[in-house]
Amino acid sequence: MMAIPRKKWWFMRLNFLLLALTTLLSQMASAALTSDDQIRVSQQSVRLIVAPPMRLDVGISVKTKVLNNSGTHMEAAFRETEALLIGQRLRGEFESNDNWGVVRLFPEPSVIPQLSVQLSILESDGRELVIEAITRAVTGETILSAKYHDISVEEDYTNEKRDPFADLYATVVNDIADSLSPLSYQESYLRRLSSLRYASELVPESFPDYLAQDADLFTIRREPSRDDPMLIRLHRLQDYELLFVDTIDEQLANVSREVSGAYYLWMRASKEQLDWLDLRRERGVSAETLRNGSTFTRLQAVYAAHRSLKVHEQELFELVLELENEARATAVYVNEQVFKLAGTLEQQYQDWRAILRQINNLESTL
Amino acid sequence: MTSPAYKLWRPIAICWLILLGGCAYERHTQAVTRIATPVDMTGHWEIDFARSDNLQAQLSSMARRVQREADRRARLAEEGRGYAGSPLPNQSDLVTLARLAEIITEPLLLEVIQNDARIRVKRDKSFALVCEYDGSGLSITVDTLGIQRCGWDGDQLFFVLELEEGLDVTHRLSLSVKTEMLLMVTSVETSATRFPLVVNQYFTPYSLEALGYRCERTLTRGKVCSTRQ
Repeated sequence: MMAIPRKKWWFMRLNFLLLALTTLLSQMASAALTSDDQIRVSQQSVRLIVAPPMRLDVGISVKTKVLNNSGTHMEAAFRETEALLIGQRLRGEFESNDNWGVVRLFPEPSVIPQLSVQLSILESDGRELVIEAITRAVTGETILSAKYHDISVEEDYTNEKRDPFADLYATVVNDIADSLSPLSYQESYLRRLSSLRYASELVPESFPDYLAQDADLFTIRREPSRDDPMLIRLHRLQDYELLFVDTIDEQLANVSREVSGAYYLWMRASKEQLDWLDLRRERGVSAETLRNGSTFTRLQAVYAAHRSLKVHEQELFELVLELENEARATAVYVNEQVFKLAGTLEQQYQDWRAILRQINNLESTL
Repeated sequence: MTSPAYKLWRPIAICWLILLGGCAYERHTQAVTRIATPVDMTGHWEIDFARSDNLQAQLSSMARRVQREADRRARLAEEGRGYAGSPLPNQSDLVTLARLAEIITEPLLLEVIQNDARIRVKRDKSFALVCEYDGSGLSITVDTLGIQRCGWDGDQLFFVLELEEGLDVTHRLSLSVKTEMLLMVTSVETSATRFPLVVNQYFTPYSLEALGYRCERTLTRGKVCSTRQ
C-alpha cells in the first residue's frame, strides 16, 4: 500500500470527485436520447435509472412487422417467436426494477393491467433492432409513443451473457417511467378503473352506467359496492384470465429458454455477415477484380459466409418450428374442469375469453 | 370444280388439323415447362462412393473438355471464322472451381424431410437445402448474400443458388425408385468463366436405428437422446 501526504490526498480527493462527477454526467448524457425523425437512438451503456412514481401493473403485447425476406413460412414462424422473445426481454427489464407492479406478456392488449405497452418489432437482424412502443394508461390515454433504434457493436457479442440490445430495453423502460410523472391519477383509482373496464369488456351489460367514455378516454362515473356479487364473480373471472395468461407465460418461458441460445448465435452470425458485406463493398470488389490469384479466397469466403448464416438460421428456424406445435396447446384447470385450448396464442386467448363469458352466463342464471 | 363431298370434308379436315396442331402445341408446352410431379424423397441417405464422381477425375475430364474447346476455337480462328462463347477457364480457374466444388459437395449424409408444402434436405457439415412450394412452380427466396430459386422440375427437385461475386451453385435431386438411389447433381460455376464443373453424387438409404440411438426435442425436456429402437 502506498502512503499519500495529507495535502496531496485532498488534491487527489478533489480530482476523484471531479472524475466521478464527469463520469456521472457522461453517464447521464449517454442515457439521454437523440431524436432522429422521431426515432430514438439508444446510446451505449444505458442503465435503469428512472423509478416509476406508482407501482402499476404492466401488460406487454407484441407483434412483429419485420419484413419476411425469404418469404418462407419458416421465417414467418421465427419472426413470431422472436417477437415473443423480445417481449419477454422487455418484461425482464421491467422486473429488474422492484418499483413496478406485476408485469405480464399478454397475447393481445389488455385492460387488466393499469399500463399497457404495445410493442411492434420493425427491424431485427442482429446488428440493428428497431421497435415501436406505444404505452397507454387504462384511462385510454396514450402516455408514450416512440420508435427506438439500437445498433449493436462488436463488444456486445464478446460476452455471451449480455444482450446486445440491452441499452434499448433500458431506454424504453426509463422513458415509460418518465412519462408516468405527469399522470395525475392515483394508483388505486387506476386499479378500480381497470377492474370496471375489464368487466364492461367481458360482459358489456354488467355495469353499463359506471363508466364514462369521451372519445377513447375512460373515467369512473360511479362504483359498485365491494360486495356486489357480479363484481365478485367478474373479479374471479379476471383471475381465471390471468391464470391463462400465466399458463401461456410458463410455456413462453420454456420456449425462450430453448430458443435463446440459438437466437443469440443467429444474431451474432447475422451481424457478422452484414458487417463483412459492408466491409467488402467498402473495399470496392468488382467483377474485374475476380480474375486474379485470390478468386478462390473471395468465392470461398462468400460461400462460407452464406453457409455460416444458413446453418445458424436453420438451426433456429427448425427449433422454432419444433417448439411451435408443442407450445400451441394449453390446458387450464378452473372450476374443477380442465379446459384444453389449441391454435395460435391469439386464438386461444379469444377462445378462453369466450369460455369465461359462458361461465359468467351460467353462474349469473343460478 | 369441287364436289359436294369435298365441300363437306374441307372444313372437317381444317378442324382436324387445328386440333392436331393444338395437341402438338400442348405436348410441346409440356415438354418445355415440365409440370411439377413431386416424388417422396423422405429418409436418410448416405453417399455411395463407388458410384459417385471422383472430383479429381471430374477435374481431369473438364480439363480435357476445355482443351478440346480451345482446339476447336483455334481451328475456327485459323479458318478465319468467328466463334461465340464465354472465355475459357485457365488452369487457375479450374483449380478454383474444383476447390469450391470440393467444399460444396463435402456432405456425405443427407436427411430429407418432406411434406406437401416444404422439403428440407439436411446435409451434414453444411446448411440444409430448403424449398417451400405452393404449387405455383418456382419458389424464390432472397438473402443478404444471394438468391435461391427452387422447385420441382417434373420429378426432379432443383435448387439454384446465385451468390455474390458471381458464384452459382445448382443442385438437382432425382430419385430412382427401382434401385432406391438418390442422385444429386451439383454444378458449380463462376462469373469469371461460364464453364460449370458438374459433380454427380449417388446416395443410398440407411436406417437411423443402425446408429444405435435417436434424439428428439421436447419443450419440457429439451433434446433427449436414447438408445431405444
